[in-house]
Amino acid sequence: MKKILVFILSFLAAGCSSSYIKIDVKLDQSYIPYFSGNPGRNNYADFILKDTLTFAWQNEMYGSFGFNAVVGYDSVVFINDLSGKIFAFNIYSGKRAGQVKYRGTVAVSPLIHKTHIIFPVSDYNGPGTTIYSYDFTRGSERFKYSFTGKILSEGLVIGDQFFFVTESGTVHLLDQTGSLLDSEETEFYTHSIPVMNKDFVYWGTDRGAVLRYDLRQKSLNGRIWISDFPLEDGIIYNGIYYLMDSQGVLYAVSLDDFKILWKIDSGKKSLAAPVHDNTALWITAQDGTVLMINPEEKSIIKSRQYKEYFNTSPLVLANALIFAAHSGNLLVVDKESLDILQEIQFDARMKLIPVLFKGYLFTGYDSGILQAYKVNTNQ
Amino acid sequence: MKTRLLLFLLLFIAGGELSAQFYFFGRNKVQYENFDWKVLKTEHFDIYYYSDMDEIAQIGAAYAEDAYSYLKTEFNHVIFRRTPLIFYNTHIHFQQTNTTPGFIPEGVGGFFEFIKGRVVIPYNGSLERFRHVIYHELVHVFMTTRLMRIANDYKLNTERFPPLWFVEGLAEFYSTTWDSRGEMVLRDAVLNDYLPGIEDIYSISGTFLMYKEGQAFLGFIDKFYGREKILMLLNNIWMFDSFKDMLEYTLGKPLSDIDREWKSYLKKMYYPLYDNYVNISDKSAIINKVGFSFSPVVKHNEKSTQVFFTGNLDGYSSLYLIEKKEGEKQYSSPKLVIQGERSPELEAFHLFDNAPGISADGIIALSTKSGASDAIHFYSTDESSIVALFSDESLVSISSPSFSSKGDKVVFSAIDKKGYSDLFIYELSSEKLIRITNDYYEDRTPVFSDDDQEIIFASDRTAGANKGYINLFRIDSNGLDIYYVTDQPANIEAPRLVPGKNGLIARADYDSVDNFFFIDLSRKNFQSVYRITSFISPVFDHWLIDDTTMVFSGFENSSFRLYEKSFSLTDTQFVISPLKISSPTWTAGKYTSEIARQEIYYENEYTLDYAQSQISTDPVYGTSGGAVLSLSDLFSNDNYFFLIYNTAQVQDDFLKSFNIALTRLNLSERTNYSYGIFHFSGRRYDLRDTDEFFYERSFGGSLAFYYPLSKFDRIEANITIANSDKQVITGVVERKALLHSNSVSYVFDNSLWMPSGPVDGMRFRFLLGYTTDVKYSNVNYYTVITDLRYYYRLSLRSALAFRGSLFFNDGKEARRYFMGGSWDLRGWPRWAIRGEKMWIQSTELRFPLFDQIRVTTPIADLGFFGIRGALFWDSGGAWDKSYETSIGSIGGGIRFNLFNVIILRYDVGKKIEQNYTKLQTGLFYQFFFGFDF
Repeated sequence: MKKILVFILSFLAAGCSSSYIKIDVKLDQSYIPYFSGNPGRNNYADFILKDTLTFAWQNEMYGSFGFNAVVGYDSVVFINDLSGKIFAFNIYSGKRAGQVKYRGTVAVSPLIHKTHIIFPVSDYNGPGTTIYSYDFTRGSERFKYSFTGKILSEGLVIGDQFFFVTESGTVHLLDQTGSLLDSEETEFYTHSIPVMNKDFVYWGTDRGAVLRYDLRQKSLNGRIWISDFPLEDGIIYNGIYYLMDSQGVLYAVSLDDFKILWKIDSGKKSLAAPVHDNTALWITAQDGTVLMINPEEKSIIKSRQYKEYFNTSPLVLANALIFAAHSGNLLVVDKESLDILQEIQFDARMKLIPVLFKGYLFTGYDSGILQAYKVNTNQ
Repeated sequence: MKTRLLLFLLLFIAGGELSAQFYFFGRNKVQYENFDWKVLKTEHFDIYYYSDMDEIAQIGAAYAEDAYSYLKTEFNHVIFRRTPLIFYNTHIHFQQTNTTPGFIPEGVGGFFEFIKGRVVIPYNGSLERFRHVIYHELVHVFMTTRLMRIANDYKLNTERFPPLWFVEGLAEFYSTTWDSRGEMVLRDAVLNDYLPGIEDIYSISGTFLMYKEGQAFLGFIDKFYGREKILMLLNNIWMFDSFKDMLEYTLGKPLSDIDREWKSYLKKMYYPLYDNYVNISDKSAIINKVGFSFSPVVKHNEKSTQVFFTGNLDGYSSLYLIEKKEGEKQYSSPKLVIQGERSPELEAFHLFDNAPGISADGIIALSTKSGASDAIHFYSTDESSIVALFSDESLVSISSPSFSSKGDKVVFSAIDKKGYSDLFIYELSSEKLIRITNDYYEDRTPVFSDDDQEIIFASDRTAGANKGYINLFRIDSNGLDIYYVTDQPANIEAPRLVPGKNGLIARADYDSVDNFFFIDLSRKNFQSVYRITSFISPVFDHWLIDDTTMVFSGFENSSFRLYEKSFSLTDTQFVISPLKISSPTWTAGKYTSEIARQEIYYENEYTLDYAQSQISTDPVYGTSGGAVLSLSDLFSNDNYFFLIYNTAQVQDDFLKSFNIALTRLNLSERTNYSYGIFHFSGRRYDLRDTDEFFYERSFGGSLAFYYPLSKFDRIEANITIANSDKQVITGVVERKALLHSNSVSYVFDNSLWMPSGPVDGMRFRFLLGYTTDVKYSNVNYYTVITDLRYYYRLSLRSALAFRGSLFFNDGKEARRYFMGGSWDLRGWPRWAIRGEKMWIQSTELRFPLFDQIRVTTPIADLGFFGIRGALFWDSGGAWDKSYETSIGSIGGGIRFNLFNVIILRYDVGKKIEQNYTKLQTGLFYQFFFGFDF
């Protein structure tokens, strides 16, 4: 009997893992604080890719990603898992630096504020969510804040404040201690990621309206109707908010006067945010088409259809595009010719949007496989 | 626990001589065809088809790939695993599939099977229906894989699954537009106030109305809440255990409010129809309202009007007659003319879209399933018998036969082995079959023109602006040019010529449901369509008594009834427009991608069906455990079952205490066979053995054959050889034997079942067997079993059931039979009466007791449906060498079918003892489970 007990206990012990992240890090000014790393959410990196991607490491989380991306600080990247965990990995070795687990789901990338990660955990069986702030240098929680609603779109760090919108359209603005600065019901369901420009936050809604939130006044103060269809994720570039609706119409909204500047029907359905590379807009469509659009002429310059299914934005570099196709391929494509330079095949759905951080490209696929590639760029 | 499990496993796995008392009646799924399967591999699918269906398979492949492209975008989901699609060229062949173990009703258009992820679809002559079903089943595939993905991503159990109305509604929503059949059921349910809301939709679970309400409700969400909400209802499944909670969260309001909006929306849509339309029964006389009535034909003379019609009035689809003599106002009650579904010659009447025909001299042409394919039976109304039969091995399905004016020819629609639905003429005197059309357009409901030189028929070959609609066409009987009769944005079919007028009456769905219209044929270059009826609910097949009176089938208040109506052809002109003459030219796309396409012959591909293991421990027997697993090929034609179990009580016994059985069951051909080997070892309690509790080690093999003579009867043969080493008291009472058992049986079953057991028809088994010990002569007995069960129908839901069974073993170490308990001799202790010979008689009156009991509580509402009652008299006797006493019981009971999972039974009564000389004092009360005999 004793032997059986020891066997069972050791079996359980091996299966359990500790739930904390405590890492020594150096102060980092160039970290990725939230999904895409910039308030306009533009997934463009002004680097020239010199070589093909070189596989560095992979690690398995035994979980699943959402359609988001890693965030990074110093030598660590963080990523969420849909079964309620946040993982930290060393970017050089690929070793797991820690994890925290909660009962619920973390559907969005964590935010990084100084040495804290801030992330919402949505209930599995109920309408609630709790936002946690976790100090990853001390391995302890700083605050938690609970409310009714589900967070399914990425949050924003604005100075020492954190901005979230629930799926049902309620805004929550917290300070760094977790105190609620503002909560406002918009009554518009949304699956569009909030983007920020100057002191305003913008996002699209499922009813086709764009909302504007004033961070100084801490209130919603603008709404324009631009479509009859749900709006997808968008980006801000040079004071213009670019986003598509579910029927493939691309809108350019001027943020100065908060009006539609122009729109064009791409003829392709897309779920991803466009990317602006200082010259053109790049759009990935669900049927595997990539389009390059001239925002000045409001026209499609070129396009190419691949045998893929795209539902996330590419990483756009100065001379290349990198796609994580949900149909199971990581593609590196020449920006000029749109020819495939490198194709890495997986027999699984790609989930994480490719992100560059400290010379590595991070991406991931089902089920919970995080990969890093060494990237040779001109920086 | 252990010995009971072992007993169960032995009974389940081992061969003939061990399983003599427990057997199965049941109908047979007859493999008439030897399908030579081929595989067409496309980018995402492996498409299995056979014989000459190449063209249909290529068209189906194109539909499948189109569906994949469409659905991956809608669901934001890709499937990596190649999906097997299995195509059958007709529904008749589809019914032979072993991919699902049960029988497939005629209303099933295809299915997605979860264990192996197979999609199985029959083609039925219509490319549009084929496309619809392919899309529908692929929605299930996408939905299921998406849900599995979500469960995996969020680490949830896989029991979070949407309710059936949503699953089927979603499949309909993404696969088809709203059509007249959906409109028919939904409109009728709303206007007659029997449509349940979404909160109560479980009450119509599994019905066509549920499918269509689900589809319509999702259309309502699309319109008022946004199309994106529909997939959110799927993607948000991780948020709540309860689908209702998740639906309320996603739509942002309580379900009761949503239901109220939904019902208001429907009422606003349908109630105003009464401004322009009327109920069928308000403008027509109901001439039969018993059961479900379809497809009438009329024999009319100055003395009487006889209406023959196909229908289902008692659970079997059959041909009936109602009659009105000259001077009478009412038609008679329905009289059975030809009973269907009881014999192989008349195995199934296809009630929908299959009208009979009648000649001027009273010969009815009726197509039914007859063995491997359909046949046309010619029934003489004068002689009251079937006088001729037509079938052809190249034609699988036949429908809508119609006579020429002279009665010497019959034109009909049939599906051949290519899957084409085309027109044929059969000349009765010469027995010559002539093919009229030969293409993949669906041609149906043909009739001869007045002069018998042309055939007018409905077809989906409409091209141009009205492509996709079914219109009327004409072709000369030599099968040369085809001309439009109508070219309308409506589905027009089932034409019948109006006597004395140069025109016909057909049904058309201009009003979203079918009404009757007169088509003027006098001007070949123009189409003139005149309205005959403005009914709010649809009509079906009709027959003209004369040029002012018709008999027809209509759907109203969830019933299919027969009506008679007078009509006039002087109503308002409806449409008149030029008619194009040129032949239709649309073509179906085929899968042509050369890169991914391969065509090969199928070779058996085996995969695991299920695997289950069990470990148990108790203070007496210690710990034991085992596993069962099953694997089969893609079509489930070739099945392997493997059982392993260990009953060792001490370490030394471990190796010799393995119980292993390996059985192969092959269902691919008409003769099904199985064979296997086994080794069983352990202590067991066996009621059939005089020693009852003993240790036995038995190993050997078995072979069985099952040959279905028809759907209703079969011959079974079993051979088992087993080496048996029995120890009652080790070293003291032991018996060795090398047992050889043979048995042969004849089984018949055409019974009709209600929720708790059969109420009509008959079941019968006759078995002869012989068991002998070929090595030590320790065992030697023969077996005779006769078991007859007859059900005499008293009314629609009640019956007098009779059972008479004789079990007879005679010889050395003959096994015993046993009875007692709720399944046979009620009131007596279960299995307490035993003997080598045994007889049982049961007579039971079965009737409905409560249709519905509802209990409403603050927490939940409970509904109990279909509670049935029984009054019974059982009697029997069991003996070994000399007969001793007869015993019995009388009493009553109730039966309740719990969610189609288990039948609960409760009986109360008195035992009859001592050769019927004594009644038990007091009553017995017996609660158990199981179907009625």
